[in-house]
Amino acid sequence: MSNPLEQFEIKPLAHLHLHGYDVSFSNSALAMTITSVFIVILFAFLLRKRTIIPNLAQSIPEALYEFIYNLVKTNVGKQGLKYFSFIFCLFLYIAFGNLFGLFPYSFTFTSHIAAVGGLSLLALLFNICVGVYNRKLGYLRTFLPKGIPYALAPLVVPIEAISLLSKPFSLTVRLVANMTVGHIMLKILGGFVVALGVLGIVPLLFQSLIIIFEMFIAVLQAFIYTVLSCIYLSDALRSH
Amino acid sequence: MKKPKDISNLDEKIDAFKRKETARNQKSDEPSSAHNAAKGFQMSIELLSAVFIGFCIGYFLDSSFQTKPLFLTILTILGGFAGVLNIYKSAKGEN
Repeated sequence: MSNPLEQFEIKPLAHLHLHGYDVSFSNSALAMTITSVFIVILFAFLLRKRTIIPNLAQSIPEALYEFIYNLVKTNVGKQGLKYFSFIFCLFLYIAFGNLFGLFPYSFTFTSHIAAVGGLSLLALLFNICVGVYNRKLGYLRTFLPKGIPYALAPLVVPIEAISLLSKPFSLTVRLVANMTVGHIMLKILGGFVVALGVLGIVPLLFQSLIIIFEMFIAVLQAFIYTVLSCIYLSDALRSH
Repeated sequence: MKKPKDISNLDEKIDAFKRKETARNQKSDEPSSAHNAAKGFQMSIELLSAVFIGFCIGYFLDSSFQTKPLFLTILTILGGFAGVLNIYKSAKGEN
């Protein structure tokens, strides 16, 4: 039975070094590229005939669009709809990345802290920029909520700052842990199927159920990631 | 020709059906134990991530100012406070 962690190994496909940094095109980068290109092609294909009364193909992206639109509207409010495209892209990218990872011989880039962490840091920077742009100096109120005496500022400001900085980390860990655990479990069960011979049908049945569950988890985690990004965005837009 | 159905106690029937439906909906609204476990797992991540970030900032400050272990100690403790704050915020947001 091969190592269940082998699937998370990053292998460079095209070697490239810039100023001493290794920027090789890896299998992780390939998975990200395929995911992004696939989303664009899928949406272009489904939306090729645009009519007022949508047919089945058109209604799928429209339902997704409306779902995220309502999510942003309820969690961030009307003023958050300006940033809808960012949230929508985030959701699609993570959801399709998770689902793409479930295919045999593919690579789950969402199981890497570096990939998801980069995305979360981008979301944090985006939130800070949106907050500063909309509230100017009032954004600093995030670090010292109203009603707290200034004498407590040396204690409250670092706590709020750490709380803000820990958000992308907890977002990342949640998604990465879920993806990693699911894929390790699938791999171990897959090993049992081969090792048990004829009796392998039992773990095979079990695995077919688990993979359906994993599909559900893949979309659910993308949804949770999106909801929490929305909540952090609404925190940035509004004072406490 | 079909006989017209008895509609004399239609209101009662509708009321009984409505009561049954609301009872069923209330039952499904109660969070399951799996849901609670997931929530607990999320809360633990909230707490640990804040402690970890505090630790990292403290370590970074110490190694740049050569003040080991002053900032490391202070910021790890403050990270614990921030973790509790995170849990409080996320619990408040859900209710």
